[in-house]
Amino acid sequence: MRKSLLIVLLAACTLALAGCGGGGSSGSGGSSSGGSSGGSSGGSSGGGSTSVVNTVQMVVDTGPAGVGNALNEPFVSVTLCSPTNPTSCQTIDHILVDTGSSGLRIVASALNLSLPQKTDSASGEALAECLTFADGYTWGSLRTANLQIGGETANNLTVHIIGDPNYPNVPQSCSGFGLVSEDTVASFGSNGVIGVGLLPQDCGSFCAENTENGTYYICASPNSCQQTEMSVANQVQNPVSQFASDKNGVILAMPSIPNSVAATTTGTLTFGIGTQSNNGLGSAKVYTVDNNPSDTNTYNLLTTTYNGNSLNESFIDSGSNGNFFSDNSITLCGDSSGFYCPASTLNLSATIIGTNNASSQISFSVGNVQTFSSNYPGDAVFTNLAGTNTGFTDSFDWGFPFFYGRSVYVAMDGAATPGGTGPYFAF
Amino acid sequence: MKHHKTTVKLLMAAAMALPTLAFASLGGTVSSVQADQVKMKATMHVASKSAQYTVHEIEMTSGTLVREYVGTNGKVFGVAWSGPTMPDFRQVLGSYFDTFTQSSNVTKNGHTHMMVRESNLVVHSAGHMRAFHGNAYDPSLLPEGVTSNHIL
Repeated sequence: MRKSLLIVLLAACTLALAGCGGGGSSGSGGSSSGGSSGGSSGGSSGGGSTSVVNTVQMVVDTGPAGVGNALNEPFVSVTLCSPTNPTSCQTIDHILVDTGSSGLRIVASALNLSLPQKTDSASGEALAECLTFADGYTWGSLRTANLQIGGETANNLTVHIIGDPNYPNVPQSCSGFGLVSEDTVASFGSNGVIGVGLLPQDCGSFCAENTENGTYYICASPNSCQQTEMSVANQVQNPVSQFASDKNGVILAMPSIPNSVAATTTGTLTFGIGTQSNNGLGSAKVYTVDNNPSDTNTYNLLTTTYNGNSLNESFIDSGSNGNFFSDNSITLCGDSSGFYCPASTLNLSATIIGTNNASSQISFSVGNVQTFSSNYPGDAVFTNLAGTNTGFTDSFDWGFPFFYGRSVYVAMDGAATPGGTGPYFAF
Repeated sequence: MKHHKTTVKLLMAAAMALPTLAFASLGGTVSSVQADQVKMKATMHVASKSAQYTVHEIEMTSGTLVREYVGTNGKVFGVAWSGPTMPDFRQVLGSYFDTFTQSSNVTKNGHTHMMVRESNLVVHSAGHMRAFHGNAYDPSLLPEGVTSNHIL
């Protein structure tokens, strides 16, 4: 895998000098200990007449102030401008890049810009959203903004403002899930999240057809928000799908990390697959996922075989900071954190299999996070972070450690690409 | 708008005369909370049965499957879920909900994993948007020989 990856990246560089800022940083990571500068802006000329800068730097560091010590979390900066006053803009750093969700969400306290409230076109009433993650919920208004990231623009994008002080009362049907509120930078873990996952919207037909979807709300006043159906077109969109071009998916490219530990590192988030000279699939292999929404257990997921078990609820998620899988033979940390703490580093392998039967054996390591924390306090990169998936024996969550030393392609559902129609992962 | 179905399907012909099939919270009894099934707007059936427990499977309108594990004493000792939405934790955890919300033994890894470990309650929650799964159980209620790996 590593070998073919390098060939792809070198080929990309010889083809287009302009793209080498992004591609080159990943390709050189394996051989040069210092890594490169990361190439935040790629080239400006590009190949085609309408191409824009489609790369932006991803930083893995300890996160924004107020967030303990982030580990293996890739952040980008985004610029938001007011659609009604387009010269009024704010650049916000430490937005988590998440291939496991769709949509742009900003924590209200990180936003100093006045953005117009999104309203229901029929009634004119304000719209808000409740969104659950596996560990908590977020609540807040929906607003519109012009997003700029790299050279890409998404105008009038619906943005979820979580923890909006204008909407302090969380509806029972939102908080009633019983999870904790994650409406502050500290509890959310970043200034926001940019969901660049497989889906073009965050909810899809379910929220368009069901009033009681627990997600979309209409508010006669900030204190009286009720659940509402929301058409797919009016839902929070994957921002990439709203670009003028380079809109069919993303590529996350990260360098290899010598000795598995680093204080920080940088990589490149590239928009589009096969749309410019710097984002071709090359020899990356396509692994399709189950794209039938009625397959409640396996929708959007693929298979991993590990220890002879076929785990058909597996996924590749840059928003997970470790690899999570079940193996009763690996010692857990004593702190009930669910992370693994083996006495010595374990070198393991598993096989990722797409629904198209494309497969690759993946080598990975499981290290001791407590030893890491005491030996490297304040470091934000640990490629051997892994934890248990206890109880979820059909799932292997390939978290951010999987992304180091790779270019991982995420093709959106329904989008045409040189590798076929999404959704798929490729690497 | 999807409609609430009240049909109760008995997949196992061998299922004994269960008094009322309904959704029960963790620690509750099967027969005590028939109203909850209505609250969840769900269909339900007995999915499997072993010497130690019966599994009741409930499908929420979102498509999320909630499975409750009922011991031979009629008590729900574990609940598991998987599907596109999270379940209502107040509903699923019942009298354990306060233990859950007040626990200080919570671990969160990114937004995709959460664990709560108390002496009488273990909760695992994982997944990402439109693909969630998890389980909750009371270790002191587990029938002999049954582990968390059975609650899937």
